[in-house]
Amino acid sequence: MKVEQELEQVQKQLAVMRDIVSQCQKLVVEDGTLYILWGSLAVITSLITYALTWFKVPVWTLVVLWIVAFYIPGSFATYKKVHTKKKHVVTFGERAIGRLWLGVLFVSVVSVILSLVSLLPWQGIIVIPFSIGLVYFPLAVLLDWKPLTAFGLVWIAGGAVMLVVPAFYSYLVLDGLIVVCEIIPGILIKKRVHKLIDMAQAE
Amino acid sequence: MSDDTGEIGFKPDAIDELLHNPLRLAIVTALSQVEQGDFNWLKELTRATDGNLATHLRKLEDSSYIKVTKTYSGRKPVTYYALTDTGSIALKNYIAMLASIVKKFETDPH
Repeated sequence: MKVEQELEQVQKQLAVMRDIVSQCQKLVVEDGTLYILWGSLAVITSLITYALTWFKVPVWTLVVLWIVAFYIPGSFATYKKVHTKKKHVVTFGERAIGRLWLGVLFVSVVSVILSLVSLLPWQGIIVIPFSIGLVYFPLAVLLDWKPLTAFGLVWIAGGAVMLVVPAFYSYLVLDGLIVVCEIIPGILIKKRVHKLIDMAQAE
Repeated sequence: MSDDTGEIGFKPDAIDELLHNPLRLAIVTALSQVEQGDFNWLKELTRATDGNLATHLRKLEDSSYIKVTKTYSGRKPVTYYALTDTGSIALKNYIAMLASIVKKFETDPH
């Protein structure tokens, strides 16, 4: 085989690999739906909690409220979404992120319940923004979407703010963080995913 | 650098014939990017026909480059394919071989 022919063959092989790798980079890890769902449930449940504190309801009522209004519908919807999703491919990133979110959910459940029953100082609640913020950094790389790093930093900065404001208002800061750093990115990710799908279909 | 025959690297004994085929190379490259993928995903990605894809997948499976897992999605049977360690090493070696050819050509284009 002549040198030119060999080189041409190498270039063809490299082109095949480049094309496949480029297509694989478009694989979607997250579509934003669960961000919007969990974020909305958290804000709604939190606002109900605020309203109920005016009536000085027992603490166990609030624990039940969080389980019934936040964790049960959120977990059920997540389970349904994960299991009904048409799975053609399983990515390494998808599994890693799934485990990370499971960890965040566990930390959130424990810290909310412990702080509601006064076993944990109210400052303990800042593990929620910190843990969510930390997940955003690897997620930004996997989704190849840099703004998520900025949202992660806002989560952590917001967590620090929660420490310096009175306990009552720190939960309002958390609600604000959920809206700005979870629901809004969820909407943006959803729009981006639809755009990528449209582009892939057009190709 | 060229040898006496004017070849720079595709020596028959050095080539991994399995990966030298573009479709098989595409399959192995695709599976190196994910944990596992099903037949339809590979078909969509490689734009191959059912029969052609199945034939090449079987060849890769016979050589232990890929492993096959049969499962169910509801009542529908689904077959997943994943790259094995053997396949992964073969792909790395193949890429190294391509890179060495390009390097040789860059240092001595004639």
